[in-house]
Amino acid sequence: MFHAIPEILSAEEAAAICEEAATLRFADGKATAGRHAKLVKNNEQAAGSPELEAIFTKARNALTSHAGFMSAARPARFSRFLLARYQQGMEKEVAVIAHSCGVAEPRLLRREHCRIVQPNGQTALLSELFPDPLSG
Amino acid sequence: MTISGKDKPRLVKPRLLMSAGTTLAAGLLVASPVAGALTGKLASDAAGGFSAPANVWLAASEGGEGGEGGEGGEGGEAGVSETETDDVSYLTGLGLIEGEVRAAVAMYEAGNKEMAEAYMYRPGEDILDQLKPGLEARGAEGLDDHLAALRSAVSSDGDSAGLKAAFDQFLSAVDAAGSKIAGGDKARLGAITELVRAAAKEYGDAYNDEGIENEAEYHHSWGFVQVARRMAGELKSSGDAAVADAASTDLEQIALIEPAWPGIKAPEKRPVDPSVLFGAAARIEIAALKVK
Repeated sequence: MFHAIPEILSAEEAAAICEEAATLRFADGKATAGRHAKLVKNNEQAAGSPELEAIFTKARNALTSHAGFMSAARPARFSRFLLARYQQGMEKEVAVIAHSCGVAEPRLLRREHCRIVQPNGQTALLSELFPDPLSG
Repeated sequence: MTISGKDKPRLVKPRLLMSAGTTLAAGLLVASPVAGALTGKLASDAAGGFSAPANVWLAASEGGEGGEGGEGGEGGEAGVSETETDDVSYLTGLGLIEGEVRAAVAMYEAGNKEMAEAYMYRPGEDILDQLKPGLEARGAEGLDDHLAALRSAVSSDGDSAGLKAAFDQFLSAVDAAGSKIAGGDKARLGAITELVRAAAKEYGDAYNDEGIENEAEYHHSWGFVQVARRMAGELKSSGDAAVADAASTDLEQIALIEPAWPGIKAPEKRPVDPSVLFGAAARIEIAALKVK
């Protein structure tokens, strides 16, 4: 089960990050993977640079200044950030998400696997907020 | 407060994922239907390469890859609340006061003495109170006196020469107070971000869908951007190439949003959508974060 918290970044901030990310140099994600992860990792990751660090700082600041995130996650510290992108046929973190939801692959993820944080702080199933029009 | 047992803060491991898609969303912890959509949508977008804006997902994952150490957390965005210890907050406070004074002087020159007087009194009522601990901590007291001189000048009939002299002395005092920081140019770049963001917010509050709703917000946003431009202009000639680059980006972004303010007089309809201003603030922020 994943909890989605809206508006960690504003639309303008997300667009600015995307513009900056588009200028970065990306390399095979296997370079930072451990022995076992190398076998399944299939994505591209941004190479280290001041621009990348700026994006990470922006993302980290957005998280730590978000009251909902701070009250729910209560982070003592963050691990190192990674910025990944995916071309055709690539997957890695999306597969991790699928596995943590108890399904074997991303295509098996359904709306029932996600809860959306509401303005009152409680969560609601995405399948209840936005039922699958094909399932009715 | 003591934190113990099961309430102890835990390590979280975010991952910033960017798709090559073209829709825009931001959230934490990727949602299942979107994650499913990612793999399908990427296949169709891959041939076109990266095209922003894209999906940006901040995803937490457990376990993962060897050899990656952790980092300490970061504080939130600077406001004007910790001016005693935080240089960005301190400089932002100074900039906000300068912006409001600039708006007041511009209103005076435009013949609106009543509004000029009102603006000239505002800094002493709110921002200055928050800034005072920072001024005292850095031995930069005396701004009160310059504001009093400005108020006296703006209230005196026909004393534009006196107002100009008081304004010049005030700017010198602000400059001197700003030079007392320890954080250097990175803090100044941070303050520029906060000023442009403050301008965007004020500008957004100035207009509703029908037109101008609150002229004061328009005038203050005008003043804040004047200050941001001045500060960026000073940093553009920095000997530190990274600072100069960031300042150049700031000036480019400020030039981009300048049509929002055709002059000190607020247009009936807003010339620029506030989202454009917030976008510029975000780019200015990222430019500042590149500087070590």
